[in-house]
Amino acid sequence: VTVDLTVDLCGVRLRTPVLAASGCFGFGREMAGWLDLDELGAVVTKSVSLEPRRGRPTPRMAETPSGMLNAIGLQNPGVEAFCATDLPFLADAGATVVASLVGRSADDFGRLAARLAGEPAVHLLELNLSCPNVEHRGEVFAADPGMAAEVVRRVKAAARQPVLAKLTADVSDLVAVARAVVDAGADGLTLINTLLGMAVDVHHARPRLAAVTGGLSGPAIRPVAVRCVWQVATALPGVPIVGTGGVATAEDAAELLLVGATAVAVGTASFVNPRAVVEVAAGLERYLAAHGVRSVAELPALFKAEA
Amino acid sequence: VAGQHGVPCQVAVEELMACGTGICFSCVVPVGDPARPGEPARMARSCLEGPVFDGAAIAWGELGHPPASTGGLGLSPQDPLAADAAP
Repeated sequence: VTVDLTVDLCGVRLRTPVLAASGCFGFGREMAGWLDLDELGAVVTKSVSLEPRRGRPTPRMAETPSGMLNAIGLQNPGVEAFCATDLPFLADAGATVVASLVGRSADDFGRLAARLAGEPAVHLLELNLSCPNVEHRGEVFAADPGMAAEVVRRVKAAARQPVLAKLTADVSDLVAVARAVVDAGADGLTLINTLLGMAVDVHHARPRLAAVTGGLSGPAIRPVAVRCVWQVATALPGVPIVGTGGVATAEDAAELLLVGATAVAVGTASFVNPRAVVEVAAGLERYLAAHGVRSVAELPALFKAEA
Repeated sequence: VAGQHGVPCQVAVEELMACGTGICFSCVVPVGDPARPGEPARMARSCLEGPVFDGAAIAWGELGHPPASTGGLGLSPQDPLAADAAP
């Protein structure tokens, strides 16, 4: 069979269903030496805030079994520098761009969306409502359905692009948060962010990260991501979901697509292999061909509810 | 020592790296402009801009953890470089 890898994500046609996840691809510039940015499903940028952020002190990362902890602290040049230098580069490279936004208040998010409304090089917005590396838990908007919905409302009032809300699995009722942001107007969801974790240097009796806690990513969290995508896709059928969390191979991507994701994002794997995003897409094409499936959109219907 | 004798000093420094390609922002080192001592240091990626920097540009007091070879349970001396840099 001839496989068609393109997918429709919230009205935007993507070349492949495999995106580069936020925070694991910079703003694309460093990766352009490893792959062609126009080959990717999309580049989800490192999260951008209104003002530049310096990020956390070091150490910022710690290796853990089948994964890693990070506490970068959202270091980024701010939205004006992003628009002046990073966005033109991505546009010239032919990349489909998902701009990841982060703020300390719903108003911050609304102002970011307004600033990017006139930037045609931004195809979608992703709201980072769930970064664990913030100073106060109150900035993890996705921990509370009401706060998350308020951010989405403010963004939707200003945005011209479709809006993805990136949620965290670190809640007792993920479906309630997902329903709240969809009711508030989110066009789609990104599931999941890193999980809040911590590691201790037992020989010095101190935390391994300067920020003490950090976000756990990598293959260690993939089963959590699969569960979350399955749970939300089942509860809210028809809502586009970008599944992410520990995807390193085509089989990992297929897991998320089978349980209802429209597309997947490759994150930590890009640290190990800079070409992971394109290699996962190529593997997915072989997987579909081997199983006689023409398009990834057909996968959820093939998923059997029982083992 | 180099400063006392007016000799340029370059130093090789690095931090824990996740990617080594400039995308993860783990390996940052605080780097300032020696000509503008009042300005806060920026977090420069040692994998891309380093690992060799102008010694006078490193904000030594802001460097992270002490080396893993120092200290033990209950004994964690400060990074000797950071201690030297303290006023």
